[in-house]
Amino acid sequence: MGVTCVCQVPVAEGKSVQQTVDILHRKLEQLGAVKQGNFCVDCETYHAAGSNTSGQPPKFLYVMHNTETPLSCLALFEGGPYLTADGNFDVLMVKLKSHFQNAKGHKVESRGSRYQYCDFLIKVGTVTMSSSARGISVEVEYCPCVVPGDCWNLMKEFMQSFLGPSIPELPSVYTTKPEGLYVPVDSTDTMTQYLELFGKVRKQQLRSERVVFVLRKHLTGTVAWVWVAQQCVQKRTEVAMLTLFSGIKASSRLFSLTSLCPAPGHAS
Amino acid sequence: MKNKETLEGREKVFITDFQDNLQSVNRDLNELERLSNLVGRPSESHPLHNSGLLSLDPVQDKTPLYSQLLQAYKWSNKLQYHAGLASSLLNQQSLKRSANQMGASAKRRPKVQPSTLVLPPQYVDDVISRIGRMFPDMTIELFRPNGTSAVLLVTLGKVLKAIVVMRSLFIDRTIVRAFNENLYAEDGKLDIWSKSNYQVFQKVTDHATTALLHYQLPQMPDVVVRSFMTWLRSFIKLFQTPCQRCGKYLQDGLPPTWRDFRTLEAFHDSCRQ
Repeated sequence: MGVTCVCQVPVAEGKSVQQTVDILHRKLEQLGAVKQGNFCVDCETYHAAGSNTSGQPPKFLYVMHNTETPLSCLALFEGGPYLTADGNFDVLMVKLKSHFQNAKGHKVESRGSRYQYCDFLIKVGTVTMSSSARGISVEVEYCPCVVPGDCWNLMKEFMQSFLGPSIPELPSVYTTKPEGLYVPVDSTDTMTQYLELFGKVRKQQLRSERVVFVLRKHLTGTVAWVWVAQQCVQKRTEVAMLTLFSGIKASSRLFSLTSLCPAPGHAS
Repeated sequence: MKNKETLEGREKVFITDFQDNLQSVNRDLNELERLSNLVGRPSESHPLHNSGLLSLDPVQDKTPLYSQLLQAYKWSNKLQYHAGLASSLLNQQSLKRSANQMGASAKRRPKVQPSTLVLPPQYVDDVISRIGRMFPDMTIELFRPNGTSAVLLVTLGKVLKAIVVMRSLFIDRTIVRAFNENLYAEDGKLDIWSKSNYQVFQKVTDHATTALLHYQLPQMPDVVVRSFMTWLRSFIKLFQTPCQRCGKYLQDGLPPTWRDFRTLEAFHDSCRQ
């Protein structure tokens, strides 16, 4: 296990998710990377039952699988401890139904091809929520190094070579670790990054749905806006979102709306 | 009377015949003389000396001796030139791994003791532990798995692990692996043979072997070990230093794996020339 970075790649302007993925594949192959089969990372969400009664927000438990470690699975408590278990941990979760309820329709997965280039492993995946593609994830792993701070510049240079200038910052998983040493035996750091990414994709999804809802409510007259919003939700492109938000701001009729939907620049 | 006439007549005929023959011989001789004057002396300054005269052979197709000779001559010339270059280079490096000196005569050879190969193990331990103390970011463990020869396990920060096989105080071979790679074979012994799974460290192993050949000083083997360790220590920033020539981190997917032997500057393998 080396140093891993998982990031979300925006869908290219005027292209579908699949087309953008194809472009990435082509760029990697031009670079000299060799395809080595497929991969899949999935995540199930469980509510902790009974937490609602105390008035606190519900606590989530995420159970994740990764084809890189096919015999084990990872259970992460939101902001809390995690455990690595055998693959049939899911069966146990069924037995624990009274404590943890499976949030149906919350299943997220990222599926795609695995490439190797020298000592790098690259996984380009399509993030799917309730059987529709919502975004693209790219995982880059530099296998021979174990200290993220050491090889970060090197990884950045590599990612620039096929992702262009829009490369991520050092993942927060690493910045929070005091000694910065990667845990070699399990892939928790990778999975935490995937979880963050899935959360981000889900939030974007929720936000766009909320925009449509609010627009429907307040702008019943302006059918066009609703149409734009629907387009945006269907295509899930950041660009469409941007146009939408700037359009809303320009109309200046709905101050309340702009405060309700934060500008996409500072996506939380 | 008639007889006499016929005799005279035959004599005359004979004489004229003889004269004719003599004249033709004379003519031929003259011709030969003229031709031989035309030929002139073969030039002495031919690069191939007398063998150069083979080029005058008109039947080239049947006996291509001359062209073959030229080829051989060129080849041997080149060989001599390269041998000269190699010998001057080798003299500079004084690459004498064995204690037997080149000049030692066959008679004396068995008497020459390879003094540096019979150092007591205690002395080797001392030298190694002294070197280990010199570099705080480098830990050196010493094993003796088979007899007196030492095997060093060098851990450099969190970057790499190197196995150095010693023969007395001479470094025999070295292998470099990643920090997270397995060092032990299935039977629990140090695996001193199999190479790293990562291309970076395969390259570093190659360069380390080059360094072993570069740092040679048969009279002072401890200096050699120290220089080698100093060189190896420069890999502590293997993933952090960009190439000193092209300024980039990666070339063909590899970081700068070459370290200059004197300045310890980092270069890509193809940038170092």
